[in-house]
Amino acid sequence: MLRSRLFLGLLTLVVLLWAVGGTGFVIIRDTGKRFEDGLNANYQIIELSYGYRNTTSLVNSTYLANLVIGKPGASPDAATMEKARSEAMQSHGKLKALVSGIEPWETSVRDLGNLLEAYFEAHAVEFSAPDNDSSRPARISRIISTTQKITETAAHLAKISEERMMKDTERLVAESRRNLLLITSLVVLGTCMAGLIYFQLLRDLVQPVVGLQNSINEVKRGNYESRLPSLLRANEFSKLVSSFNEMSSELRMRRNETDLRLLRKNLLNRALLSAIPSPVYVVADDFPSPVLNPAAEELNKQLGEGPVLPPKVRLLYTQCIGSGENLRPEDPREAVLFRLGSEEKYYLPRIFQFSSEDGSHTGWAILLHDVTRIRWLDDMKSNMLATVSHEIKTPLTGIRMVLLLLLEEQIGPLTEPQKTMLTSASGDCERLLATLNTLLDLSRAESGNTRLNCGPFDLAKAAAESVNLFNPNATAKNICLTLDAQPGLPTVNADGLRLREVVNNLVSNAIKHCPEGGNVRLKISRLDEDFLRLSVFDDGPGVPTEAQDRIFERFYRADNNQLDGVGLGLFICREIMRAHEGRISVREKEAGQPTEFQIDVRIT
Amino acid sequence: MFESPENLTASENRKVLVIDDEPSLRMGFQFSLQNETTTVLTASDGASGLRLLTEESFDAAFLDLRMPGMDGIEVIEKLYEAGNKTPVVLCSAFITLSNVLTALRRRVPDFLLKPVSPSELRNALHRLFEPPVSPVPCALAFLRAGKSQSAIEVLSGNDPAGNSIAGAWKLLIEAAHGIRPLKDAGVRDESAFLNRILRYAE
Repeated sequence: MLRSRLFLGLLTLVVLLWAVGGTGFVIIRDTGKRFEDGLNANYQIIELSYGYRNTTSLVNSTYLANLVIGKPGASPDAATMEKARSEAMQSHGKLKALVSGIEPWETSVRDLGNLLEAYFEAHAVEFSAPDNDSSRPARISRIISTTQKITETAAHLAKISEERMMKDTERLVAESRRNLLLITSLVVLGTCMAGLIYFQLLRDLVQPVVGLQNSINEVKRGNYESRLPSLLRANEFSKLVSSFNEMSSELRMRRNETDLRLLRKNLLNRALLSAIPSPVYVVADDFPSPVLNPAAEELNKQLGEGPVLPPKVRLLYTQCIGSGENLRPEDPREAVLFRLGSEEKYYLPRIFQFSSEDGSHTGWAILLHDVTRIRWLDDMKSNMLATVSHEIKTPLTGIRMVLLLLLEEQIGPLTEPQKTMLTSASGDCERLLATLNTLLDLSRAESGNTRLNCGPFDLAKAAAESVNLFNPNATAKNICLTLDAQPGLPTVNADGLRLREVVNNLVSNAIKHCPEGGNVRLKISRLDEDFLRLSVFDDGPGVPTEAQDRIFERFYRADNNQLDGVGLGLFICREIMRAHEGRISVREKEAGQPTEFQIDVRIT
Repeated sequence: MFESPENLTASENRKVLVIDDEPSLRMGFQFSLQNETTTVLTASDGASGLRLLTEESFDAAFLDLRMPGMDGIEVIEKLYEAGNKTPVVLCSAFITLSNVLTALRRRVPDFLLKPVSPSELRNALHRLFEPPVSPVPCALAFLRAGKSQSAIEVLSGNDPAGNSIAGAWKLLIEAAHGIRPLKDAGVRDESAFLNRILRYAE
């Protein structure tokens, strides 16, 4: 473990430190003690050695002079000598103890002892010897030579000690050099160990931390693949490494999950977009170029464009951005024409803005709805309407001309019944022409060019006229056709000719769908402040619920409708009511109730 | 008040050609127009009508637009190419703006919208010959003579938007002669505009 290794490493350093300090202390103390001991011993030896000279001098001077001049009896008693003798012997004992076993002192000290013995014996002899002994001078000279020898021996001893002292000092110096080397080695060793610990720490502590930092940075950058290598030796970082790697793999897994979800979502969206046969372009604020669905890609390929909006659409898109409004045209006439090779295609552009829930991301979606076929059908219908109208109108103008000429009676006079019949025929002719013109106007009305000639219009009167007009048809089916209008209703603002067309159409339809012997009833009432309502009731089977929304469409005929008609009547009615800003509707039939169609017209 | 653009045919005996593929209408036209001083000849299609017009001299011709084979516009083109200056009245149930513009370029400014009553027909014929007394008929007379610039001058008034009949005619002539397209003149509702043009006889 890192902690124990750190502890051990530092412990070693501390031990080394203590060792160096202790060794230094011991060496210094030992050296000092040895130096002091040596000095003491040698100094005592030297002191004692020189002490003998004094002792001998004192004894010689006290006793030798009297001996020489021949008056030994005059000489003091032997107390001094005895005292000197015991002192010398005592010091010799000390000296002997000091140098016992150490050559060459031992020999010298033994010699010195013998000499001292001899010396003091010689003096002691003199005390007992007669005063005029003839051999005295020889003995004196022997004492003197012994004294000389003692002095020499003592000097020799001191010299040896001095030499010994010098040698000791030299040895100590050499020893302290060795000690210095030892301490230096220990310090170097400590330094090396510190270095070793440093590199160990660097490897085990700093490198993992740096690696961790790098890996965290990698993760921060989104590279969840970054893994820390597992450490060679297990330590505290091993856990960190495994924790980090777990976290990293967890993040990777989460991200993979998110990626997968996004991918699936994307796939679904793409499938959805691909399923739309219309070209779709999505321009998002944070996307450099529009996103295209396969249909759009195909269209652009045919147009020879890259992944951009086709120029015509781009123009509309720019306008939409400028105005900030969506473009949702309904009329196929607003379609944009694309020439794809020899083909002409019409696309109705729908441009609308979208934004994310928090509103941070916005964009525009452009859907091109292929209305080529609708346009073609529409043109077909218009052409058909125009052709049919023309085919009817042309002979009709001839008939009308002839009738008018006959009625002018320039060709010849007419009898009264002839005149009545021709007038009636002429009236029919005029009505037919008016109907044709209305039909043509309506085909134009679809293209937005409705021209209404609005003015105050008596709806009740128109309804009454319609009742009169259709009474013969009703009678033929034994239908009771009635009008129920309150007197004094206000006039409505309408184009009389067109509104009559609507009323006639509703009445005609009601009679058509009413069973024989049933009732068709017209009712006019005031709906509210602004509208008059005309309702047409019949006893017919009514309009199936699912068809109610569709009966006002062009060419729509309910499945059960076996009756004649091309299915334009109600469509025309709706177009007229739209142009009038009015309403037309069918009320859901309840059991036992008559079918009811109603129109609401604005009051003048 | 207005200068007569050209010496009108003052002959009492007029010869009129009716070109229409509808037999009863042809008959109706013939009976409506024919009297002591007016002779009416008929042709049932564009080709035979054009042949008659080039072979004989007529004071006026009523020409249907939609006919099998050669249509009215084609007849007008051929007459223009041949330099035939017989006044022509274009007569149809469906007169479009482009027809009107083409006709104007070929010196044909008279239009009659079917269905037409005998009296309207007679009036249309009379308009060709009576001296013009108001700006529009006068302009029409200039146009028949091929003097479009004079016609524009006659119509110059205070109606740049073409809301009056005279104003609409001025814009129409300008458009026909490439001076200014109708779109630039601010004409949006073409059918309303055409309606105004064709009501000139009222």
